[in-house]
Amino acid sequence: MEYVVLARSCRPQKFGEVVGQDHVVTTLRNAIRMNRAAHAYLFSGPRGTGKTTVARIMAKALNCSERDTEEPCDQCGSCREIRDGVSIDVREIDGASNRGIDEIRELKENIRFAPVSSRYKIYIIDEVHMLTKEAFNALLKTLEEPPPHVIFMFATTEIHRVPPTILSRCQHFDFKRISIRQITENLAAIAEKLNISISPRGLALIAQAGAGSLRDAQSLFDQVISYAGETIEDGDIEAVLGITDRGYVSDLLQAVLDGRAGACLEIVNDMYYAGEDIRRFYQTFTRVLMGLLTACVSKNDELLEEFTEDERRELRRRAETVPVEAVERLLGMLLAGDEDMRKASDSRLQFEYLLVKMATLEPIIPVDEMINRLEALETRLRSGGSRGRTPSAGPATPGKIPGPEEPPPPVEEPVEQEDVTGEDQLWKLFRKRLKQENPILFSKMSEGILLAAGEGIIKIGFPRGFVFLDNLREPAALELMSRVASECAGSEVRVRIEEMNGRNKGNGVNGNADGKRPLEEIKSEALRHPMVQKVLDTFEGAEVRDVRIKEERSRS
Amino acid sequence: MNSAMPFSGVYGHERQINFLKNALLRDRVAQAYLFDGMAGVGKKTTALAFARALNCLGTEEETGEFCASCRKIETGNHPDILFVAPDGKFIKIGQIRELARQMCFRPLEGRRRVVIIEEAHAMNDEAANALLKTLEEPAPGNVLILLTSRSEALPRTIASRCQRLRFAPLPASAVEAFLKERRGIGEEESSMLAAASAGCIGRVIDRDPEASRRFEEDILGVLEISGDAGDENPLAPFLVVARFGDDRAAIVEKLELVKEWYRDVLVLHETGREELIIHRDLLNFTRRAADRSTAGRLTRNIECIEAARRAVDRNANSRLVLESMMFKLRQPSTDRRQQAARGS
Repeated sequence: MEYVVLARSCRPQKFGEVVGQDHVVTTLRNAIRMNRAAHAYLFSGPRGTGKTTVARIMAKALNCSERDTEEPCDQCGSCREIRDGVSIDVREIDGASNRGIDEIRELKENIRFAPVSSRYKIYIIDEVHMLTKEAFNALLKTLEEPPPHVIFMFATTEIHRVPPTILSRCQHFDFKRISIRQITENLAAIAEKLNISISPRGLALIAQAGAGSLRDAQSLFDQVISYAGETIEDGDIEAVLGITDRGYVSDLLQAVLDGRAGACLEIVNDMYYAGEDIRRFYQTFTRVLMGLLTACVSKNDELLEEFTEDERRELRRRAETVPVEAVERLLGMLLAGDEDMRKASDSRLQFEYLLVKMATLEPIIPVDEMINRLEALETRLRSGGSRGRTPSAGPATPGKIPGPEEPPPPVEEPVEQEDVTGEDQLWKLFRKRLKQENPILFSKMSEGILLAAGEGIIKIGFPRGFVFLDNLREPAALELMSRVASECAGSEVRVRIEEMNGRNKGNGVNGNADGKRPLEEIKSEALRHPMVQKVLDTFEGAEVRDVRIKEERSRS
Repeated sequence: MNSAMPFSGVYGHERQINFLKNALLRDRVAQAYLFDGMAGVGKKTTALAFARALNCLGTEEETGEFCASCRKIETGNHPDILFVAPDGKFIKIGQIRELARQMCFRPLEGRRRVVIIEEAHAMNDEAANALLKTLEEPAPGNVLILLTSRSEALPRTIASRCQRLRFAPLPASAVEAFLKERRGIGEEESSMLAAASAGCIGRVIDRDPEASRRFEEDILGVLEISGDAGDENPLAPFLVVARFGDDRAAIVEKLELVKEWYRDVLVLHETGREELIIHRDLLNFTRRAADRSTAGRLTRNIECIEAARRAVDRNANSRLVLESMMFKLRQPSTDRRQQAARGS
């Protein structure tokens, strides 16, 4: 007698043995008891959850000749025939191999004949999603009103590929993934039956590796038994399942978070020669990082159900110390790299590359902390702190293009609301008001640079030989500008127009720092211009060498 | 039955072989196996050995050589060993149907019919689905062995029906032993090749080491010496592109080499451990480059080569792609855009 794998030899033969699909089984049992069996059923759900099994039990129950309850007897001729797959009245068809319209036509030919020896003629079509469109359509009429002695049962893992016209003609049952606890219980029962000694932890490990599929778990269990015999140590299980990866995940995560690129590479090397499947590991790693992110944002342990107790504790502990933004960013990189990982010719190399990238990222500053710093800066400024601040220290100078990895600068908002103490703000407000008041004058002075403000005077600098200098120096214009400025500042302010030397533009009252500032601003503005960004993005490796202000060129 | 003999030709993979032997001894041979591991690591060799063991007549103890069945399998003449391999790019439904038909009959002369499906991930959707029922409940006397180097591309429904054996890369010692015993390659060469194999015999047995080394030295010479020498020929990167050849497959292979080399530089740069390096014959170049590079530049270069590889794979003009790649690879600084934005 040839060996039959556990998943087949332990296939449930009665409704009572089916694991974890109570919602389906109860309905079907009641239907049989009340003689309300539908003419078409559709079973869908993930692999290894019992679709084909339930279809077969249902067929047995419907055709059983000695049934007194809704359970099939599993003894009579009909039941035995169905179990061995030789019944004439129950045909199990592989929908994926017989998927054409011709096969369906043939099936329709045979449907008309009454069953040979049982109550019903039952057609079980497995993998029904693979039928062609024509085949599905050819089935529609028959499916809606089959002869009274015919019952259809469809099983599929991909319900979305079954046309809605088919769905609406069937009673549809959705099979759920089986919980780890139920799988563990099932495996324990098998172990007892086969007289195999295995620790509860071992069973849990196998159940977990099954990922909600009983067949997967049973296959693995089978594999472990083949490997280790009747006395199974936890080490055997780890050897077969290759779950040594847990340790690697934790080490690697730590190394990445610490930014130790070298350590990452060493871990990958060990892992590679230990036979870890890099692509599978990548998925595990992504899942753990997702778990970490979950732990960062939620205290609910149910969301971390897929992890064991130890792992959960570790995630919680880590979540305390790592800023959520950092986790988010790493996870984002992993998810974005998933596609590349799949396509890569050499998965190890691809993974190493990604890890180094992740480990060498600039450390992230949490937004909270950044806001705190800004606020501190703000209070310092308001309390009349240093006037000669350097451009880079000022919060309103986004001196660089925000890189893709950097958090969005929440910088502009708070500064915008600041009252008109900063000369910068005053300058902005002044320009705005002037634009409303007299657009023509504004366009003439808009090229000007704020040289100095304060002490009731605003000095606006223009390049030597600026075209509108004379216009701006007219008393009427000066008068208007001064009025607007006074309104803005809330006190008496005079506006003065000055000519600047091309080279040292910053020879204003307060020296270089203040004079350089607007120039810096113009440059960063130019760099931030959408057009420039677009150009930089389109031409890979393009760079901005210099930003020149127009007047300078027109002057020379 | 003595099952040790048929497996004697496999290097490494002791755990996997033990597993299969145990299954034989305990009479727990499953109907379907999935051998999962990178190309050239020994999956097919092991599958064939398993097929031999399943059908072995057990006479070798008396005669001291392979039995008739094992010999037939060895020479590819056994009627009960079937192979399915991609027809073009895919394994198609017709092949699977034909297979299912053949599997209905009892084995012709052996105990078990062994069906070896190579590159099982190449089954297209129809073929994979058509295999499901056969895979779960084949007629008695059949064993299916699916081989794949990309198990993640295989439908879960297929993997769920198989017992899965993961084939790890071989330790360098096993590769070295293979090269010395089977290929008669000298001590030093073997050890160098063993490192270059990254645990995969298939990677080095078909390679002409001398030719590939010359290629590498040329390319790397241009790439890495360039950095500081201002006086060399500015057209060098374009001239050297010709060394990649015209054949797409060959270009892709060479791009892989260059990429691996940059990986080596990265590894050396980050860890300083020379034993982690794949191409030890290029160690001089690697050391020099590692000293002068930054992680940012190296990852960027790897990215760049990977992009070029894909472009060539997708039928882009390979010469253009390679020229632009070489040009980019030689740029010294890490990210000029950011610099420009920060500075100036």
